[in-house]
Amino acid sequence: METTATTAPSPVSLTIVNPESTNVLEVFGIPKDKGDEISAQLTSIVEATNDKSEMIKKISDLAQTKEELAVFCFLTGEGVARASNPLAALFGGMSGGNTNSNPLASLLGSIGKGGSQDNDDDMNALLGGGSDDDLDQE
Amino acid sequence: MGNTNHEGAMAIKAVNPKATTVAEIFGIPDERFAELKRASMDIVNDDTKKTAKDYLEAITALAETKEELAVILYISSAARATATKLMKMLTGAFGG
Repeated sequence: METTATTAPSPVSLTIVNPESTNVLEVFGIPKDKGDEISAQLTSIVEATNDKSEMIKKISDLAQTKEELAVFCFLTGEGVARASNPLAALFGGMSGGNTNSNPLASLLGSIGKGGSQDNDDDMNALLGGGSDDDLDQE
Repeated sequence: MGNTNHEGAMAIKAVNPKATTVAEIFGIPDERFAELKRASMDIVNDDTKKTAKDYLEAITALAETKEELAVILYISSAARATATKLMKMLTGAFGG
């Protein structure tokens, strides 16, 4: 009897390549040089638009695997948030959510420089220190 | 190899480019998006998900499509980073 394959969506799961690594790229098997290359492109994406959908679309264009998609979205979301002013968010995104911060600085700090520390300290990242994150590494 | 200037296998398309919310643009129904958001915030607030690896794994398990994966990860990682930064500010890490 012929079987009909049902294509119900299955939950997405990520393959962990290096579970012991503290570098989020390495954990999911993304080579460091590829991470560096991508970081430059993520930076230009963030620089080019404030439109969340446009950003997500462009990030996904860079990804060849679901692991890359996950890590790139994660890093960009984090990078943009780190560069923004959380107090403005707390008080309702004053002035239309504009901040004086520079998303580029954050991306460069969190991705380019440290090569994606697992979750580096945002102040250190911005200042170029880039050390381990106290919350992640407790 | 190494050329990342073309559209990757994970490229997602806007199904409703004129919509005003990110979820609608990528074809995620409102109810589903609300559900994803709630679950992702639980993960963001879960103290046991401290590393990026734990967090990414947990968020990924919520997603059924690459569109859901991309949208929910972007949004929740921004929320996670903002919460972390805010907490540091409020607890005096900014003080000096």
